[in-house]
Amino acid sequence: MSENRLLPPTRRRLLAGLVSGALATLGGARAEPDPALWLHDSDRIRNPPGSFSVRLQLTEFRQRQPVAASTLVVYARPADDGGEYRNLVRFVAPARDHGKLMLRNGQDLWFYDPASRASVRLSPQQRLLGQASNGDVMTTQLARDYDARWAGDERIRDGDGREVAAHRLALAARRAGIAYPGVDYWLAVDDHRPLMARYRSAEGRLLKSAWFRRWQPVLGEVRPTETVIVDGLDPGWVTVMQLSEHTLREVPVAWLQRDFLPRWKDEP
Amino acid sequence: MTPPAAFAACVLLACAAAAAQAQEPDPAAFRVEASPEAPPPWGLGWQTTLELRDSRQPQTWADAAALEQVLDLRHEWQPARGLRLALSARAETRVMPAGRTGTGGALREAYASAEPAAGWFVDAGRVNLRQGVAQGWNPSDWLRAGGLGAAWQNPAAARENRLGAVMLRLQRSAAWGSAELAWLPDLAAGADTGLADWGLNLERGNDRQALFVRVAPALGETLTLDLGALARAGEHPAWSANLTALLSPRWLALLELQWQTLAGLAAPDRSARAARPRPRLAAGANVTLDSGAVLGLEWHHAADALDRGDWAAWRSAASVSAEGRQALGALRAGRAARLDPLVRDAFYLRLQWNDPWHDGRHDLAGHLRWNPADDSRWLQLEAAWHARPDWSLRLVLAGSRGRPYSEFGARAVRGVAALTSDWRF
Repeated sequence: MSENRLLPPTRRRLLAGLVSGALATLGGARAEPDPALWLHDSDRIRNPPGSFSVRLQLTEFRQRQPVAASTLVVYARPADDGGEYRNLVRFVAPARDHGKLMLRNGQDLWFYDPASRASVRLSPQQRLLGQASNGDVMTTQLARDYDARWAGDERIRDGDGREVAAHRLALAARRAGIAYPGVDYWLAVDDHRPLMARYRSAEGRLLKSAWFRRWQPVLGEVRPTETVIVDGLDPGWVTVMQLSEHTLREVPVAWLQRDFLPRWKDEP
Repeated sequence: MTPPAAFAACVLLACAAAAAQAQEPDPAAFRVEASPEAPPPWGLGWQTTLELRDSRQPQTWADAAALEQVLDLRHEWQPARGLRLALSARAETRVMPAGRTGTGGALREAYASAEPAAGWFVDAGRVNLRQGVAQGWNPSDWLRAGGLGAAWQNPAAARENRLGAVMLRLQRSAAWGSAELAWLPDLAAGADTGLADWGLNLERGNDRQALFVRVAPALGETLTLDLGALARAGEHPAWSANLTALLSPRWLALLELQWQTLAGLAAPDRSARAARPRPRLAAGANVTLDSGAVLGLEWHHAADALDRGDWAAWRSAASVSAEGRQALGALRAGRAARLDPLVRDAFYLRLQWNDPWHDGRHDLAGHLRWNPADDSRWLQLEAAWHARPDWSLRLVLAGSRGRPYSEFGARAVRGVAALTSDWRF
């Protein structure tokens, strides 16, 4: 039986702390990489604090040619038990989709069509294939749902084509049901702003890649206002997502109920 | 692995990695200028449909073709905070080369909605109140009979044109879920259930006084449940449950159940079966395929409908006498008007494939209904091309197969082809 197991847990932790503190003092005050902290910094830059709404204008390209455009408004409220936001997506344009809604409470997803007054439940896979899922890229607090591992530093080309020094993080979802079980994430070395991400399935298959760019002061922080998303299976399918009209606002839980969908108006 | 083989493998891997890198586009090459936001559409739609029907009765080309024009309005106003006014209506003309012309209109919804306190809502007027999680048939949707008559088997299209019922409704929406209570007055007792061309057709939802209650607690991400009850004058109370369960990120199961004391249909030479609690249900599952298509299969069961033996007796009677055919026609019409199934068991298969080519311009769909008691079928295929943000073209092809006097084989229309121009503004 080792001596360690004879000590009670509290004394073991105290002893370990003293030893590591002494070693740190002997070795100098060099800071260790803290990928969890970097991820937290990145989340703070990407997402406004608390509940908010943002307008997304999506332009789809096929083989470099713009083929379709749509506009959504996302109302987001941080989930109580995780980093993914509960959100409601309102379709603004094109005209044929105006007024349609998509509600997301984790894996509980509903689509509402005002023409038929019908709410239909969707599977998470069905949502991932639609443009509304691109909103998820912007409304996710990665630090709360992922374990981060520093995978090294490298120089990458950012969304504007400039070379930037970046930390590369490997993120693994902490629980089942997260939309993207794995993420490769690149942050700027200087301020930990997000530069690029590759979102993967549980099997490691690339679902989409995203580049964050067009940095502007928004709600007290310089944030990305444009994201370029490339489909993982079909690299010729590119979506440019422009964000505007960021607004801090209360998004009550009562709004995020499927029976509330027929009552939703632009300003409920 | 031998050194040359390992070298070759490394070269191949390096080439593959380089190819993968080369495939990824340069994001800097994709620039979009911010464009001014178009004003929101007013909620008007103008649809023009050219339709060709293949009837089982002998017909001329002039009888087979029709041109239909529909002006559709759906609009909401918010005159004051906490108050909403909604209007949904349509007007249509139908011209046939043979010379017959028809016009009609429908006021689908017209109501006021107020929120006197946060999360409390009161609605008054004609409201399209629907429920049910199934796609092909909703046994718990007690006001489903309000649909305008349509030859189409696409349930979504039928739902878009259904009439609401006049009601006073109170609803509470909160973090725990929602609950609602609705009272439907008797405004058209004894009225003819046929649709008037320009009338309000209140008998569709207000032929009897009714009280409706429903509770939908928030259970979490995997399961959803709502429970309902309806008390309608002259009927036994009805109870309902709607359940969905997420089985995996791709698979979704659903169950829609209704219990009510009902008389059962019987063979033509026998009186109706005694009233007793008889369930009606729709059970099924949807799966999302890698392609993005959604495939759904549902089993529909109505314990008050005809069993195989009784259905065979009805068909046999129709095949030997005019009275038998007349009685069967009346039975079919009555069940169809209430959207009640004719036979006890049926299946519904649905394929929905939105944006199959990832260009935001096309949608495909297919619907198949199958009556296993007589092996008759109805198949409908749809393709939509969204040529412009406000203009779409839709092609619908539908047809039925079945022996004489079978459920789908006896339909007057054997096949339909329709091309619709749909303009939204």
